[in-house]
Order: sequence, then structure tokens, then C-alpha cells
Amino acid sequence: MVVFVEENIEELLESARATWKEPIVQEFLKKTRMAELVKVIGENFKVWPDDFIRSIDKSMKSYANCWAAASKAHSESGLYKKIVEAADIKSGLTVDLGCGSGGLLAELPDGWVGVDINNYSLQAAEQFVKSRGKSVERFSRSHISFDPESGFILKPHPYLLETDFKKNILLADDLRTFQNTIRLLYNQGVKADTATFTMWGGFSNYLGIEFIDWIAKAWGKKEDNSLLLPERVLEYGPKICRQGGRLVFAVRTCKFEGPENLYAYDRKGRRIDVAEGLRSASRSGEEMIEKYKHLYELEDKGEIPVTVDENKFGLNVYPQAADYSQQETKELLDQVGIKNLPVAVRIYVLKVK
Amino acid sequence: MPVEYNMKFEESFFWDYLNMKKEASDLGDEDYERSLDERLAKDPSNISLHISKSMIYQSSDPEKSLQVLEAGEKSCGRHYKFPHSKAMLLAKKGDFEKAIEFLYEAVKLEPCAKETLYTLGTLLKRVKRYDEALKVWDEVIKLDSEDPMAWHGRSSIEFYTKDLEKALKHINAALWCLDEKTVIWQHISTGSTFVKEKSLRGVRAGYLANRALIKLGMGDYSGAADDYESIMRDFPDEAGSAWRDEAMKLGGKDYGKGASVFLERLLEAEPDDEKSVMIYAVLAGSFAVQKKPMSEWIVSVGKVMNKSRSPVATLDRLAIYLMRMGAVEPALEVYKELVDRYGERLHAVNVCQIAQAMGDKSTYQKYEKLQDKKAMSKANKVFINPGKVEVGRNALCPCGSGKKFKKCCGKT
Repeated sequence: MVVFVEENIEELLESARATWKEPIVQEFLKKTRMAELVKVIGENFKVWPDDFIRSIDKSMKSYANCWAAASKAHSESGLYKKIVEAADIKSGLTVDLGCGSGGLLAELPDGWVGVDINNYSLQAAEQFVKSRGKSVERFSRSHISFDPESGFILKPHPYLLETDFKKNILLADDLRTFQNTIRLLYNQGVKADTATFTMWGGFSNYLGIEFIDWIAKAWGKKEDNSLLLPERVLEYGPKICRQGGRLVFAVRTCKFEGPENLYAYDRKGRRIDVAEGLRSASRSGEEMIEKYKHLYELEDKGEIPVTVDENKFGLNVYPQAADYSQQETKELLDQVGIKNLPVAVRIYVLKVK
Repeated sequence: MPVEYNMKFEESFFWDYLNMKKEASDLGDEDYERSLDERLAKDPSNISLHISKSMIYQSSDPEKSLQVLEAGEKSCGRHYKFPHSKAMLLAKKGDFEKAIEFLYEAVKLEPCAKETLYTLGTLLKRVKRYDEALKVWDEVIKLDSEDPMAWHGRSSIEFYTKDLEKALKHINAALWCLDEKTVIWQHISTGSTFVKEKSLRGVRAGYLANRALIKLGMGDYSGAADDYESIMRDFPDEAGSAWRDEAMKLGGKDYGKGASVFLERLLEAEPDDEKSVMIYAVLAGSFAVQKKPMSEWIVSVGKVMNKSRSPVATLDRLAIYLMRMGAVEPALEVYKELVDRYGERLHAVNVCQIAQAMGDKSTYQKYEKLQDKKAMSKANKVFINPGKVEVGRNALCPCGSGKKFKKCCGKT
């Protein structure tokens, strides 16, 4: 069991309190429902930033805990090892985006950077890779900032590190902006050989077929905002990887069998949206069938491309890797009360032009 | 530290500023001031209006400009834009130290304003306070890790402090970050109205030129030549002027060898380009004076002259350049070559003059006999009294300046 130390919370609280006093924050609050709440609750509402931080902190901690357990299961089943072998990562600098509890990092050759926004996950990753006898240095501070569009946001502390990458690094960063990762790499005048983005989405289900369609669109720079993080990885991948470097996606996929598989069900049979934040999972089945009709037909005929021109859209599918995770993931999902969710993992390797 | 909203605010501020600048040029100073006053009467706390008003007097009456800013500060309250604008005024007057004080004050008021940090970093570099400048650029990088100007600023300081390895890393970062959006932002934030004219290619070329300079400093001549080649590719029309001039500057900065390497590469691409041939020869000449033995230099000149279509004119101008640079010995060799190989006896007099000055009796005696006195007297007439010689107004001036006759000796 991973034990987390609350080393960052005071810092978060302090930054949130400082932000709270900013006039633009007060202006923002006036425009939102918060202002009404102030009227109702009165002066007591001033404690809000503290509560807000504690709630963020709690959810981060619980996510890190859950994912550490799932990741441990994946790791023990050999899934991460299989991913590293299948993607042929033997040497060079690898940046693992959204590294979570470090399952993949433990299997990578030395000289990697693990990136995640959750400082508790980074702590878990540190413990995990150290237990595998690897040395690592962690930079995981964050603060609370404010954006008038989206309100309060968790921001990683900006690090401008001098390192020769002999040491493995765990770095706090927001994958919506990639600021710290870029700072770290550019300050050293290097680019990564490989960027990995594996097992994204935690416990959520995902439609592999939609992913293929989407990735083809995104790689061709067509707009599709349905999936923020993979889109950002595709956008920033070429910035952080050298020319000829690779982007490795390992995606949890849900093989489409019928409209009922678009949703998971809790023990009482109620439909729940397990892919919180993923619009793809909350669309209706009929809509999905209509949208991806052509792809389903192709898949039925076995005509989904396995390898396309690498420079343009390098897609490799390794179905063997899928077999490893399926059983474990099913068990895990059973534990949290989700059924009817056949899960597999597919690996996509894209070459940076 | 709240970051995002400040940047958004600044963007709108500078679009306002650009619009006002356009209005100023449309209306003229007096009408523009009147219009600003009218608007200020309605909206006395509008910072943009106060600053725009102060800018009317920026060049003609800096004191008045300063007064306008102070009045603005009184009615609007403390805002970083006021010390920033004061600093700009002082910097224009050359009072950098005082300007830096004001900029620090502005940063204190608003630590997230990139354009203030840009100006501060640039001024600190100018007064050689490199450590402080480095910290300022780091702050910009912390605000925006993809700011090409910040990486470039960092790199330039490392170049000045001779930390070339880091300078190279960071100029690479600047180049990686460069895209159209950031270039436009950069021009907006520095108050430039020439957004369209200064394109991405222009900024990229500037960065590449600096990278070439760093590589030259590190002795990586072919790497520097690669960068210059990229510049040539970006600017095929201007390849013959601006960047060759840059090469000339390099030649004068002890980078003769590097400059020769990239000019050699340039000549491979454009063997007929007279100007490149000549600059190459000049650089080779200057390098010969500093480091190489003469024989090596003559081989270099021979090599480039073989590529030249009109070697006489090129050698003639080359000799003039060499004399201006004080490279007397190579100049003598060039004049000798003109007389011996191309039969240009007019230049025998130059050989004699130089040989005399150098105390080289045998050369003097040899070439004294070859002097073409008829041609010399004609040339002197042209030089002394150009009015009496029939030269077309639009023809090239016979003095060899390369200008039209009407714009040179025929001007009087």
C-alpha cells in the first residue's frame, strides 16, 4: 500500500489564498453563482479557498490511490513490460506523459522523464521505481492559479532545471500546456526520442474504433475537440520529440458489440458514465453506430489499416498486448461494480515528421 | 501566482495601442491630441489614452511626455504601464540606469507582464548587467516556456559571457519555439506596428544568424555555414545583400575562417555571384593578414577568381577594399595579378606606390617600367575634373565607386 505525504497542501492553500484576494477573482465570483452563495452564506464564505483546495487535494489523493492499485495489477501482469517491448523502446530519452504511479517508468531504460499533474501520483511513482532499484529525482510542487475563462486551476510549479538526464526525473506538469516538460527539455537543448502516453483515462472505457478515426483526423490537423489530452499529446509531441522520434499510445479500448457496451452499469443496473469527462462515452449508441458505420464495416471485413505510411500516419497495432490486460482489467472493474465492459489495450506508434 | 489573465489583458491593450497609432497617423498630431483630450474628459482613468497622449511628444518634447505620464498616474492610480512608459522615454534619451529602475518598479507592480520583462532584459544586457538580465529572461520562461524571445535573450547573454555551449542550447530552444503566432505577439508586445512586414522568416533568419555566430565561436564552421544556407533558402532574393554584409562583419570580428567557409558554400550555390566572390576574397585576404601564409591566400583568391565572370573589375574592387582594411600585402598581390595576368598596366602605378611604401625596391623597379602613362593621365583627368570627360549621366562612374556617374563624381 502506498503512503502519501501531504507535503504540498500548505503551499497550495497559500497560493489559493493569495489568488482569492485578486480583484479579477472577485470580479469573476460576482459573475458566477458563487456570488449568490456569498449572499446566502455571508462572511463564512471566505473560508472557501481552503475548502476548495482540500477538496482538490482529497480527490487527487484518492485518484492516486486507486490508480496505484490498478497500475500495480497491470505491472504484475507484465502489461507495461509488453508495451515497452512492443513499442521497441531500447534506449534514448523517453518522456512518459501522464506517468501516474510509474508502472511504465519501472520498465523503461534509464534516462526518462515521468510527467504527471498529480503530485500524489508522482510520490507513488517515486516509491515504486525506487523499489525496483532505480534512482529518481522528483519535482512535484504545484500552486493554485486563476483563469477568467475556467476559474481556479491547479498549476505545476515552473521548474527551470539543469540536468544531464543521467538521473531519471519525475516532473509535475499539466498536459494541457506542457510548460514544464518543454522548459526542462529546451533548457537542456535536447528533444526526446520517444514520448509515451499509456493507459490514459484511468478506469474509463474507450472505443478503439473511434480512437482510430479520431487519431487519423487529429494527425491530419482536422479539428476534433472531443478528446482533449490525446489531442494535446499530438500537438505537443512534435515539439518535445526530435525529428524521427516516436509517439507511443497505449490505449484501453472497448470492443464495440452493441449500444449497451457504450455504458457501464452499477450493481443495481443503473447506467453510469464511467468515462467521466469523456464525451465519447456518453453519446447514445445509435448515434455512434451511424457515425462510425463505415469504420465498423471496414473492421468487419478486416480492412482497418495495420500499417500505413509511417511518416504520415504511422500506425502499428499489436493485438498480443491486449490479451495481457483484459482479464485483470475485468477483475478490477468487477471490484468497483462495473460490468459489461470488455477491455483491451492497443498500441499505436506514430513517427514524428 | 495568477498568470493567464494578465497576458490576455495585455493583448487587448496593445491592439488598442495599434489602433491609436493608426488613428494618430490618419489625423495628424494636433487633431489627434484634441481627440484624445475629448475622450480623456469622458474617461479620465483610461490608461491607454494617457499613454497614447504621452507618445505624441515622445520625440519632440520628452519632458512634456513625462509630465503627461505623471498626470495620468495621478488620475488612474499606480499601474505598471506608467513606469514602463517612463523607462522607454529615458532609454530613448540614453539614461539606461534610470530606465532600468523604472522597469523594476513596473515589474514589482506587475510581475507577469511579458513586454516589461522583455524591455528590462534587453536594457540590462545593454548595460552589461548580465546576471540580472539572465534572471529576467528566466522569469519570462517561467511565465511562458515557449517564448522564443526569452530563450533568445538567454542565449545572447550566454554568448556575451562566453558560455557558448549553453548559448547554443538556448538559441536552439528559441528556434524550436518560433511560430507565426509568437512572432506576431512579439511584435505587438514590443509596440511594433510593422507586424506584417517583419515576418516569421525574418525573425527566424535573425536567430539563425546568431546561432551561426555561436557556432563560429565554438569552431563549428560547417555548422555555421549550414545555418547561413538555411537563411539563403529563406531569402533567395536578398541572399546577395544583407547576409553577405553579415559575413563581412564576421570577417571583421576574427571569424575570418568561418566566414570563408560559409562563403565557399555560398559560392557553390551561386558561382556567378560577383559580390560573393569578392567578399570571399576580401575575407580570405583579411584572414591571410591575420593567420594564413600568403601563398595559401593566393590559392584561395585564384580559386574564386576562376569562378568570376569579370575578374578584372572584381580584382580591382578587391584591391580597393583590401587597402581600406589596411591589408597592404594582399592588395599588392592583387595589383600585381592585375598587371601580370590581365595586362592592366594602369595598376602598375599602384604596385609601385605600395612597393615604395613597403621599401620593396626590386618590385618597384620592375613595375615602374610597365606604368601606362597615357592611361594614367586620362584616369587622373577623370578624377580631377570629371566635367571635361564625356561620361553618360547614367553610366557607371569611372572612379570605380560602382555608383552611377550622376550620383558620384558627376554630382557637382
